[in-house]
Order: sequence, then C-alpha cells, then structure tokens
Amino acid sequence: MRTRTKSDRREPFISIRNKLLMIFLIPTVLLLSMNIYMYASINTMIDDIRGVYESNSTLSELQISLSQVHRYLEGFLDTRDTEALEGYLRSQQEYSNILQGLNNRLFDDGNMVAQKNIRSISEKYLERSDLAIEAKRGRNVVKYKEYYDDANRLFSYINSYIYSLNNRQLQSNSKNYEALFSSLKYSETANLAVLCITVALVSVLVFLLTRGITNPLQRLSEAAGRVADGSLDAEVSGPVSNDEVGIVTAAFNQMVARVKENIEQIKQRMEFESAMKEKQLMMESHLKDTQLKYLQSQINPHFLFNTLNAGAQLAMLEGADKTYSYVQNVADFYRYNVRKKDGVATLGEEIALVDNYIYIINVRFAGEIHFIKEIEEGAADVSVPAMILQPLVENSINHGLRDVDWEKKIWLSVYRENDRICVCVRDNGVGMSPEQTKSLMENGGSGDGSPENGTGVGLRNVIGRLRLFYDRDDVIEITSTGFGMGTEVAVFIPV
Amino acid sequence: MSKKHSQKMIPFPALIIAILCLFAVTAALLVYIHHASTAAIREKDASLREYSRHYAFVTFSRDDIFWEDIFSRAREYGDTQNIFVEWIGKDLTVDYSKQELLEIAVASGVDGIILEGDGSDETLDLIESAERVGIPVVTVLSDCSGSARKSFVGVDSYDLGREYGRQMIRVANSNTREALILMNAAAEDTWQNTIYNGIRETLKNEGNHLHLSLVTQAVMSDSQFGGTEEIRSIFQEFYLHPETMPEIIICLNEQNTISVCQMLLDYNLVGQSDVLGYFATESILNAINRNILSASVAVDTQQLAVGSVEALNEYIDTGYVSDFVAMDLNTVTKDNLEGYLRHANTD
Repeated sequence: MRTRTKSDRREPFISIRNKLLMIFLIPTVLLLSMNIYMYASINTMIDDIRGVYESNSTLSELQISLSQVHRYLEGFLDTRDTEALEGYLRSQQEYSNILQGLNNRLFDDGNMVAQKNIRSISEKYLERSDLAIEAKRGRNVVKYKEYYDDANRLFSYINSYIYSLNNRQLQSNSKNYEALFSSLKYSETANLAVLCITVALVSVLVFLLTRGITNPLQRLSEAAGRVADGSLDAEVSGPVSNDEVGIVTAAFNQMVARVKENIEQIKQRMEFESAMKEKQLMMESHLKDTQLKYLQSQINPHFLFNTLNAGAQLAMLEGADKTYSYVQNVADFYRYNVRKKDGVATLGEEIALVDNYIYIINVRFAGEIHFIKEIEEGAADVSVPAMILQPLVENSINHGLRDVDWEKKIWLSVYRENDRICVCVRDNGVGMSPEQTKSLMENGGSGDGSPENGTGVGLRNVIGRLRLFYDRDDVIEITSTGFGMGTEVAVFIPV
Repeated sequence: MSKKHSQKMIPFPALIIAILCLFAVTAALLVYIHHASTAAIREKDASLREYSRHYAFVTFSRDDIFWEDIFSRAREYGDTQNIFVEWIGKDLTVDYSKQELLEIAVASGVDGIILEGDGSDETLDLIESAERVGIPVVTVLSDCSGSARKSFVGVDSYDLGREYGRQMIRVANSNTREALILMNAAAEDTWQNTIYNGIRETLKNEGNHLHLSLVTQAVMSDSQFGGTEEIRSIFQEFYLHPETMPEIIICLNEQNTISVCQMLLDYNLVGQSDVLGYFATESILNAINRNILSASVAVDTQQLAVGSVEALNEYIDTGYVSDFVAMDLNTVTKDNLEGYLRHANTD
C-alpha cells in the first residue's frame, strides 16, 4: 500500500477516458501532420519540376516578341503604315518588358552572361530600329536603310544568342529535371520508409499504452477470480496505474485485507472456545477416570463403612483401643473418597487423609515410617483438587522407601511462598536419576495409576488434574539430588 | 502472483513523451531528407560569382588549340582580377566571321576587347566603332596597324623573323638551296612582311655563306578546312615531283605547322625537308620528338594572356597603355624539348 502511495505521487491522475483519447489522438495527429508535411514537400518539389523549363518558355516568348518587333519594323519601313507603327511601338514595349526579366549582371555562368549580352544587344537593336523608324518618317532613305541593316544584323545576333542560350538551357534544364525527378523519387521512397517505421513504432507504443490500461484490469479480474474461488491471499500486486482501475484495485486490496482480518478474528475466537471446551471435557474425563478407579476398588463403600464402624464399636466394647483406632482410620480413609465426589477438597482435608493413610500403613508395616509434618497456619483452608496429596505420599512409600534398610521418613511441609502455597512431600528413600525426574515431570511416570498395593491414583493423574485445575504447567516440581538421597515432590497452589 | 504481473509497467506520461520524441526525430529526418534532395539545386544557384568587368575575346578561329590555350589562361588570370573574359561566339550555334563577332562584342557592351588582329578595313572600322562607344580594343599576337586599338600584345614580328632566320642557318648547309615560307593569306600583310624581312636580314647578315633562296606561298585559311586543303595540294605536288621540294619549310602559324606535319607523314616525306613550325602545342612537341619538325618558335601563351588582360586593365584604370607589349620568344628543339613536354603534361 505504501508503494502505491509513492507511485501516486509520481504519476498525476489521468482518467481512462482521457488516456484512451490521448492514445487515439496523439498518434493520429502526429501521423496526420507528418503526412501533411510530406505532401507539402512533395508538392513543392513538383512545383520546382514544373518551373524547370520556365526559362525556356521565357526565351521562346522573348524570341516571339522580338520577331514581332522586327516584323512590324519591316512592315513600317515597307509601307509606312500607321498600324505597323502602332504594332511596332506596342511590341517594342512588350519586348522591353520581357527584357527586364533577363539578367543584366555579370555572373560566372555562361547562361547568365548570354542573358546579359542579349539584353545589351537588344537595347542596341531597339535603338537602331527606333532610329530607322525616325529616319523613315523623316524620309531619309539612306539613313533608314543603314539603320535597318544595323538592326537586321543585330536581330540575327540576338536570335542566334537566344537560340544558343535556349539550347544550352534546355540541356541544363533537362539535367535539372532529371535531378529533381530522381530526388522526388528518392524523397518519396524515403518518406514512405520513414512513415512505415513511424507507424510500426507508434503501433508498439500504442500497444504499450493500452497494455498499461488493460494489464491492471486483467490482474484485478484474475485476483477477483481467485477470491471467488476462496483464496484470500489474492492481493493485486505490482505497479498500479493512477486511474480508475488503480482506485478500484486499491479498494479491492483493502476489501480483501479486511475480509481476511475478520476471518482471522473469528477463527481465533472459535479456536479459543474449542480449547476451553476441550479442557473442560478433559477435566471431567480425568475425574471420571479417578472416580471409576475408586468405585472399582470400593465395591460397596457404604457396606464397607458400616461394616468397619460395626468392627470399631465392637473393638471399643471389648476395650481393644488400638483396633478401634485402626478400624476407625480405615473407615475415615474410604469415607473421604466417597464423600469427595465433586473433586474439590480443602488442603486440611487432604492432610487429614494423609494422616489416616500413614496410620494405616504404619499399622500394616509395624510403624516403621516416620511421618513429620510442618503446616503453616491458615494454609489448610485453600481449595485443591481432591486426592492429590495421598497419591504423592503413597508414591514415596511404594517407590522410595519400600526397599530401604535405614529409617524411613516422610516429611510433609505446607508454607506460603509469594503468591502461592507450596506443599512438599519429601522422603529419604532411594531417590532417582535426573532422567527419571525429567520423565516424570513430562509424562507423570509410565504407570497407569493401578499399582497392586496402592490406592490406584497415579502421579500422572495427579499432575494432569493439577494442570487442568489451575490452567498452568508449573504446578509440580520433582527433585532428587541423586541415588539414595531421597525425593522431594512439591505442589504449587496459586492463591 | 504470476511473473507476468511483476514486470515493470512504463508510466503513461513517459510513453506519451516517447511518442513526442519519436515524432520530433521523424520530423527532423523528413526535413533532412527534403533538404538533402534539393541541396544540389540550391547549391548551384548560390555558388554564382559576380564580376566587375567583362572583356570580350575575339579570334578568327574558335577551335584552335593555340587560342584556346591563350583564352583559358586569360580567363584564369581574369578570375583573379574579378574580370570575366568571354570568348565571343564560342557558344553560339552560328559560325560568325571575326568582324561579326567583333560587332557582337561591341553591341554586348563589354568593357574591353582582346582581338586577334588582322589588316582588313572592316576590322579597322569595327575597332573605330568600338572606340566610339568607349570600348578599348587590344590586339593580340597579330596587330591591326593603323587602327584605333589601344595596344598590341605580341611578339615583335621582326624578332620572330630573325629567330626563324637563325633556325634556318642552324639547319641549312651548303647544299641547301631553297626555303619555302607558308604565309597566311588572311593575316595582316605588314606582320608577315616584317617577319619575312627579319628572315632575309638575318640570312644576309649571319648566313651569307649560304646560297639560300626564299620562296613564299600564301595559304588561304579563312575558309573552313581551306588551309589544310591547300597545303595538301602543295605536298601532293612535292610527292609527284620530289625535285621541287624545298629543303626548308617555314610555317608562320600553328594550324599550318600541324597540317605540314600531317602531310609529311601522309606522303612519306619525313626527313626530306627541315620544317620550322610555330607554337608549341602537344602535337607540335610530339612532332619535334619524332624528328618530323626541326624546331618550332613559340610564344609564351601565359605571358600573352596575362599581358592582354593587363593592357586592358591598365588602359581602363589609367587611360594610358603602351602601344606595344613585347612577348618573349622561345625556340623548341629536340635539345630543350624535355622541359616543354613536362610543362605540357602538367598543364
């Protein structure tokens, strides 16, 4: 878009109508003016050719006029006729007029010199013939004959000059005619060639000019076609002419961009919504999974609680306090599972469940596990997903402490740290390698959560539920400093 | 986007400018073509030069190489002085007599006339009439003595006669009895008489050891081919009667010289006589080279041409000019032929 703005500034806006007018008018006017020029120049040359023999016709006129003067002169001298005298005077005037057209300057050209000579001799001839007429009118017979003889001789000289000059001029005029004619032919051919070349070049230019108009249209239509086919990447690229097509192209590009943007937004919203839905479904599925497992393992919990309660009452009646406590703890442990059907419990309830579990385990394993807990005050009321602490403690016992021959200890500590509560379960068991901790963190262990001796809720299930519940990944941290150094699992609960 | 669309589009105004440039180039080309096709004709009109003076050149013969040589040199020299020298009648279709040509020259109102002089009264009158209308006449090579001509540019005919005499003495021996001088019947008698006197005086003074008799014969050269025909008949006589053939033949003009050379060849008489010619055209020089001619007395045509134009100039400019402007005489023999041949070739 920015590029187009630049080009807009460079090229002034010319509408398509004006462009078409220019494309038609400019070559037409140019070709027309060229034709007119060629026509005019060829016409001038034709006029030149016509004028080639003009000098010959002038000389012929001169000769005819001279003959007339001489005829009237002879007529008058013969008969003293007034009509002849008038004719003489008239033709003499005419002859003098034609003579004025001849050259009287001395040029380096035989023909020019001959003209000058004709003029001089003619003047002398007219002078002599005037004198002859004067003498005739004065009846001076001797003189008029003498003058007439002079005039007659001069007449023959003039005729001879005119004849020779005419011949020479005819020769040179023929040469000129040939030259002019061949130059006319040459000019015609050259003009035609120039015209052809110009037509060809103008055609190319007209092609380029019209392409400048049709190309953007073509690109626009192609882009529109692609958009119609569903491709929204069909932006019209390349240089844009600054005319109506340019405006339409810019609008088209804008429109496509806007549509694309809208579709993108809708897509994002839908993706978000589907992600949310998926998350909810997964949480439900995990919980269902957990509950299913419990249900499987607690075939008839109500019957079991009632039975266990009856056992506890019996033990109390018989005064067997330890048995009473043990049976009571077992009953509490299973009741918790039945009660927490909605999957949310307080941290205090979770810790109480761990206490129950440790008590049961210690009865089972003759009290060899030392359970130490440090609970920060006020932390017990925080809501957490149910059944998250007990599996951790169970894991510590089953995987960390089962096969050790030293004193088995489990520490549970709950404390606030910044904006979260840390729940740490630490043991002094076998520990694990960094690879194992990493694998556990990523996959939640390979176990499916159904160990033979456990409650059946695996670490993976715990991690999955914690992540879903808090919608974040950093909910748990497993650390072990090495083999035999124990393991610590920390759960971070955001507050 | 396809490649087709990424190609650079030429802006519309640039294309319009391209069309206009194209038109400008075409228009210039057309003007050039028109100019080139008519340039030759215009150039011809523009190159005319105007002269300030007009001199007429009037001779008896209009196709004589000798006179053509003088005319062309006079014309060349005239060009340098801004003078147009015209050989009157040269371009006319009618073959006018010298007198008529002189009349034409006068009627044409030229500024001066260079005339091959002769002794006829008609010429004398015409020179008078030219003089009356203020046209100075200069005779060249042969004079028109007693006329109103302003100057004579030519060789001293007595000197010419002496030179002929000397050449005769050179080629003659004690057995040489007769020398034939071919005179020109149309030429002025005085001029030829003076030559004759020059020859006779020289023979008397320097060749008194010889017993040589001079015989003259007039050759009528005023009619066309007349001179050649007369010489042919003379040589026919010599051919038929070899004993009548003179030992020395002297020609007083170029035409006779060439005719005599041709006759010697035609009648196979080369070597029978020593021929002394006049002037030094290429054919005369060749004849000397081939021993047909013994020698030829020549006048410097350049000097003659320049002298005649100068004489007219001097008279028109100052009103005075020498009555006689003498030209140098050169004798061409086999010994000094080389230089003349070279000169002729370079001309």
